[in-house]
Amino acid sequence: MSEVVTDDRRERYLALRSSFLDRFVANATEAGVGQFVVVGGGYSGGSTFGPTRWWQVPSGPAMDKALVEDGFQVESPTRFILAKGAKLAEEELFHLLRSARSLASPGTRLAIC
Amino acid sequence: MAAPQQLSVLLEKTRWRAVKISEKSQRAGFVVALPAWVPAGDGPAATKSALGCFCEWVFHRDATASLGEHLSGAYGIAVERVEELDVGTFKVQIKSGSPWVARVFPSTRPEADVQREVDVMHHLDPVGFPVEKFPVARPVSVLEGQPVVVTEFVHGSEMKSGAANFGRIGRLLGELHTVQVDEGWQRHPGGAWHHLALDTSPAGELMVLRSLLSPARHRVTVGEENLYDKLVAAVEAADACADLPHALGHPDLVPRNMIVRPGKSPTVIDWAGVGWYPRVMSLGSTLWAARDARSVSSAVGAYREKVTLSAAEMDRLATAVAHRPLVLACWSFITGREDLAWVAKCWENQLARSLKIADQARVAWSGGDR
Repeated sequence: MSEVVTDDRRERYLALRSSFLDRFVANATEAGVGQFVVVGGGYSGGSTFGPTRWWQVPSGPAMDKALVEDGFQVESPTRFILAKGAKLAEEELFHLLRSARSLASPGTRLAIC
Repeated sequence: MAAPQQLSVLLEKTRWRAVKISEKSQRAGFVVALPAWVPAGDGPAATKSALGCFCEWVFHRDATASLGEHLSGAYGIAVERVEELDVGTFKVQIKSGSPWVARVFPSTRPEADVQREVDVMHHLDPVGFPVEKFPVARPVSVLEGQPVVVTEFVHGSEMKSGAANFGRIGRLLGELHTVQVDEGWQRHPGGAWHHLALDTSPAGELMVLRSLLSPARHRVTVGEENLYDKLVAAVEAADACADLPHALGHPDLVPRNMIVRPGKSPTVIDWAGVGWYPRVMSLGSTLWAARDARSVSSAVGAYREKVTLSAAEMDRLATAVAHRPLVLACWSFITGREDLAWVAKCWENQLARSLKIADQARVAWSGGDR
């Protein structure tokens, strides 16, 4: 019985997270944001949006270097999505946040779930 | 999972600032953050974006939490409270004394340039120009490499707009433009808006804008390229009137920088950027703040009692009036304060308004309004 409750909660959480991130992305595309970076997976809803560039990068060191080498434009407003960010160990999250911040320009936002 | 408290510390350490989201999302542990414009210094964490670095220059001052302690040490005063009024500008409450204002400038600004502004104000005070007063003989100090200047806090309220007040401002501007200064001071440009550039002229300001608009092209969304091109073209075509007569000018002599008290003369505040630059540019920024033809007429009428503009200055008054709104429009886009569509529309309206103001000013100058 408790398994069912846990699964139900998990499903509700995932639905809430999915809807939160969809809104985060939709608001950004409406504002003309063209760069999205999903760090560590956990979100794949962005492919339906218009003229945007998406990166799916593993959570790990040197994220910023890899992105820049792959055409990430540091002057463009970006949305960073850490869909599994709250599950990460503190040190790993620290490095990710620091790395994302080094790539931020005016208009950049970051979502952590 | 990081606890909210831990996450909040992590965000601060990594230079992010959480923004308000719905209660439901908060309860689920979600966070949305935007960059806190705090420099990280050199190294891998440093901001790579040129526009991001500019925002750090504009919006960040170091060690302001210890400003009270710094002033206590420098001047032997007992600071009760420090309250931020604007970026880098603080009201300092002193135990058993009148409050001060402390202005903390970016560390890239030489202390000597701040001292020069103090010298200008010391020069203007005895000739009767209503400048802010200094509470101490040596009002410039350095906090973590950043020059700090202190002035007495001016009690009162901002001057209201209206024809009578623009007459007062026009008169003061005319007086300022006729103040005699030695040649040494004439080597120090001024007039730039201090959230864009310091210690430079309107021509220098346009150079800064060009350098920032170039990386800002990456902010342009699909379908709005023509708006960006128009904005760049406006900056390229802008005329800083550098070949026209110069005078000592306050960069923003407008009602919000005039503090009034019943029965007293107004005091002119916010002198950052005072210097030697084309007087028509200085007049232009004042006229741009005038909201109606009567105010324009009143300012011009009072100004011309002191200064006679040349035909060339009159011909280029429209570009002088349009300069500040162009700077503000570009700045809003560059720093991400406003989107390009809004900025472009705003600039279009302001350009039309500037042309109208210049026409009204020319009519007033020729006496046609009387």
